[in-house]
Amino acid sequence: MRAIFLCAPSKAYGEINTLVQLARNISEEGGEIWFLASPLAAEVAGSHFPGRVFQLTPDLERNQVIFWRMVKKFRPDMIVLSELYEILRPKRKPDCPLINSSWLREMGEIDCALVFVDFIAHVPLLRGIAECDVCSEHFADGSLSAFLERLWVVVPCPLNEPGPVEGRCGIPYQAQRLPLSIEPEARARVRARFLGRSQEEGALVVRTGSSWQTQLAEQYGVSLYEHLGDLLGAYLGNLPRPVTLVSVSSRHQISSIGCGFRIHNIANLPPREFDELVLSSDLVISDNEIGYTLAKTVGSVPSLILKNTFTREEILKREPSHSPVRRIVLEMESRRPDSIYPHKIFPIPAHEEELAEQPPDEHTGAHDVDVLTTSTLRLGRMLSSPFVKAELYGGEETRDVFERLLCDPCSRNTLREQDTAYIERFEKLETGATVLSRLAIHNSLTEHIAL
Amino acid sequence: MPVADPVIILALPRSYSSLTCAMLGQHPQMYDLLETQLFEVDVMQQWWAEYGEDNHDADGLTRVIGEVFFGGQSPQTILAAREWLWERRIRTTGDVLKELGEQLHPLRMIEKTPLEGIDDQEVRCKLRRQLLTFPQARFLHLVRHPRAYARSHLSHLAAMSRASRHPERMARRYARILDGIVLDPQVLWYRVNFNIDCFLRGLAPEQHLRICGEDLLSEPKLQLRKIAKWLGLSTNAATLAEMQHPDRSPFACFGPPNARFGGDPRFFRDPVLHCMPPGEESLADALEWRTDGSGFHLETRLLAREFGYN
Repeated sequence: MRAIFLCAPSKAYGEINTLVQLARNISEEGGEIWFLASPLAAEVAGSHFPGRVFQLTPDLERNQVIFWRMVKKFRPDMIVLSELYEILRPKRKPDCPLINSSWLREMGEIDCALVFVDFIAHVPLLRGIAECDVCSEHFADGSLSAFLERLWVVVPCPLNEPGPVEGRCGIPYQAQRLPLSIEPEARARVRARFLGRSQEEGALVVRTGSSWQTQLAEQYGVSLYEHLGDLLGAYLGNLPRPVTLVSVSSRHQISSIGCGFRIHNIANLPPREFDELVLSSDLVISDNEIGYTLAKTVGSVPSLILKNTFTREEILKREPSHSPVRRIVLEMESRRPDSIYPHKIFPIPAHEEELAEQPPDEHTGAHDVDVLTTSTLRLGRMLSSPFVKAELYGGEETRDVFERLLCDPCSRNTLREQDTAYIERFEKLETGATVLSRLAIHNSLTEHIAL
Repeated sequence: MPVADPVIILALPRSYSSLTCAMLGQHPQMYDLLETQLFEVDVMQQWWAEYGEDNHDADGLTRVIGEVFFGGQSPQTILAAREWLWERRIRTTGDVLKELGEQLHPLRMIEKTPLEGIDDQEVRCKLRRQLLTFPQARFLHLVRHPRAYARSHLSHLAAMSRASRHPERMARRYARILDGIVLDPQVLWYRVNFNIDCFLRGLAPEQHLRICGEDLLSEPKLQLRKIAKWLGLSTNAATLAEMQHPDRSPFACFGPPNARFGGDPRFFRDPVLHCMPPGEESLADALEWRTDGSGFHLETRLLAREFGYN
């Protein structure tokens, strides 16, 4: 099998890492793969497949020429696309443009299978684009619909539910091995590094987030990350086990002043070291439910997603006057008003989720840039959530969740059982290479997107 | 933007360079070019003066630019390619090749303009130009038996003379093969191959490889594996099978009416690989194109033997 992977968006790592796994799977089965990717994605893919990664540029015509030259030279059986919602929305000005109506028209006639890797249930949103008059006009002459009708959809697990999901378009596949594990020596080394002498009784908590979240938080002017150390101190500061938090972020540091537990801020780690850190920890926390890191923890390490369903007023009403969370919320609001609002994936406001249910804007033909991520949660088609969720500003309730996850063997066992059930469903899936090779020969699979 | 180190085929005309280049270009990590003439001169102004106007020698580069930068070889993309080249008329030829390499990255481009020269100095100058432009390039020295080469070259020149509208250019071509007052291509064979040999001796051993064109035609799989391995590229069965399809090159055909050539017309007419057993050419017999009954000069025979011909 010969496959070209197309990875145009330029900000997220999770997608390219998932595509790299799929490409590696194909390559191990004797297939040939090539990438056409944005600079960021090209950097990641290039480290795995040197000499096989072509880079997109800011120039649409040039990108199209490169793409068609690749098609001509490599004669692929399959073109694998990702993040189509991001690149198809007419309002968006992508850093690496590739798609216009003539490209879509030619793709509609290309003699190979077209596969869309749907990371987080974008299919319904693609349907929305295809059905929107303004978008249809933008792409002209039905080329978008014709293109979408040709797509086969595959959904990577564990980013998605491996079992049957009513109404879902797409074929789930094993995107990686589960559970991931590391050598005991590596685990001991990592724990010794961060916990020191208290590695037996101490708890190692890893906090991850995506750089796009920090970037967006800066744009929105919300102050959560400036107070995250304080806030986590309210939950982790007085647990029966001494806690060490390792925060991995290239864009911000968590302040450790007065938070009552040890914090290590790490700008970035090589992928292997990052995986070792995650798999050596006792708990992974994140405010990004669709983060790629969470998928690595299934069956190995409990994960906790921090979200907020409360308004500022609701929090102040819930929290007693001596509550540290109340104090922190007041401080946040005094420094930057409107920093507190409901969100499922920080810092995207939860109310934008509702926008996604409405047709795209009649004038622009597009939703606001960030609607897509929250709307996928609403669709409920992703992670079957072996992950625990807790309120970011939940006070004592959230502290209890942390305590159970870190200090209560019964709770950890329950989570392990949930993970085991998830992995049982996961193991029934085929690998990506198997699914794609069947699609390449146009067999009788029927889960075509058929918009 | 980075440029992958190119592969430069060093060969005389009529030495299977079109076929070899197109075969190598089918490797998934390489890309074959036509005859660009870019190493013939230093700056694009010279290139335009020499080849740019009403001359098929410009066809190779314009077809390549049309294909690589404008997505195909149609009359329109050839016009766009000529404009593109005209916009770069004050650049060096090396700059243009590097820009081409950037556009093709991560593929390694293969340059194959045949090497000729009226004297040693001209040949050396072209070789130096290649090395200065791409110090890390890999050089594939492609040789052919001097007798088979000479016969083919003479026949080709005769065909060109009939079609050419540029007698002064033809005169220059004939002047390169003059041995005193006799036309004898062995002098060009020796001049070019001797200078290539000297040039390559000055490079790191891993930077160059010599291949006999006859071996490539008689045992293509073995020789292609040898070349790919030397370049550090994959040599799996599927790749080697691909490489035996030079006909799949985007340049394995005549170009559009406004850039029809750029390589060997015989290859364009029949770009399929036809394997053939090694020939039985002699280094000892008299040369059929000379009327004085003489054979190869001693230095020609010695160099040919060094290349593995008997």
